[in-house]
Amino acid sequence: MNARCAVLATLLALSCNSYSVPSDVVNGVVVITQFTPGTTWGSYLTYSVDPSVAVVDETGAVTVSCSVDGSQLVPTIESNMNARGYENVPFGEAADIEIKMDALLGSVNTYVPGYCGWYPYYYCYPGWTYTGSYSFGTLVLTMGDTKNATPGGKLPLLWTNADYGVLAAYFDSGCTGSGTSVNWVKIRAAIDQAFSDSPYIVRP
Amino acid sequence: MKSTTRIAVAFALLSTGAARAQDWTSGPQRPNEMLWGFNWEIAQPVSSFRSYVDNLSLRGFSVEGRTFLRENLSLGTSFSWNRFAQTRSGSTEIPNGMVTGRVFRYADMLGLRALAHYYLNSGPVKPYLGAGIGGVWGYADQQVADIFTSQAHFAFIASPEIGVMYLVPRGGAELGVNVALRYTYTTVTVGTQKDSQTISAVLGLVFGR
Repeated sequence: MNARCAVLATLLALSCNSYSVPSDVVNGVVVITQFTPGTTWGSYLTYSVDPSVAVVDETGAVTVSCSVDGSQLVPTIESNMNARGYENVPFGEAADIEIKMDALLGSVNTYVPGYCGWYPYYYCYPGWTYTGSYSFGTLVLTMGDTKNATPGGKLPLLWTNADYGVLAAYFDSGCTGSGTSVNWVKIRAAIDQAFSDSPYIVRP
Repeated sequence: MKSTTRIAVAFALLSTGAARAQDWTSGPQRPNEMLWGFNWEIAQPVSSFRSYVDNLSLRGFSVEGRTFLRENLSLGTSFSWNRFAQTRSGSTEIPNGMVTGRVFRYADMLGLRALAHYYLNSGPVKPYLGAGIGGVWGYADQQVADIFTSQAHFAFIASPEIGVMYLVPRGGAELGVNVALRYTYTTVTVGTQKDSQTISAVLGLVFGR
């Protein structure tokens, strides 16, 4: 009988493993793209890319905004846009589409309502919260409709891409660094993925 | 592979017990006789649930009690727990766009069901048809990077099944094994998928008195 109980306990133990979110998910890259409905992509001919990156740095106690050089990313954007049939013009000259880059850096406290877990038994507390701190580093690409912009008005957006996690929270200390620790390969791969997820951006 | 070995050991132990029980008879179950079952459940998501997670879940068990009203009919209750988890890479459409990344998806289902079983044979080998109906508490969460969403609610569950029990007397009690194939329908929502459904293989030990 003891042997049978042992077997039963083994089967139950086999079933009862705790779960955790894999680190490659938590620290992974997420590429989000959205377009403005009604956009006629074929009506645009030229584009330009602003080589500077507008940084909003919340890694410190005080939020700091600045501009850093992002020219290493420009060829990736240009190669994708050229492949879609658009004509590149130097930044500062008149273009139908203007592409800008922004970086959001910092950490944030998160909470998960209804935390469940094992210890020493399975439990859930719907009224409780699990809190934790995550760092984030997001590169945002936007396409502005300079062709149809109203002078003095807001620049209409045609497309937005947020590459979540590519900056790993530190754009080399944000506004105070030199940018030498940035994983450019990771960022370029995310930009390529963003265009891959946006096949509608094309000029016939 | 380890799981298979453990199951084989369980069956071997029971077979040994059966061989030693020289005085067993193939009598029918008595009215009011109780059978307790402890089952390991292997569940495969099907239908819309498969869009959420499509891998086989080895993490599940159920505990059930059956009372015989007649030799071929029992009523009972069951508590079950099944866990599903999967990490996928891929793209998901959102309004006017797309999200691409590694996504972790998870679901727990805890069911409490009323059971009814009809036995096709009164001997030690008892093929049966059964059904369960009741409530299930479903909890699911999804995560990409540190973006997290979850759903938790109480829902309906119904589960027809076919199976077979093998019972042998042992002292003043009965011991046996239970094998069943079960389809489970629930109204649990996981992510954007509604009405989670599974097909399960049930392997268990039975104790009767």
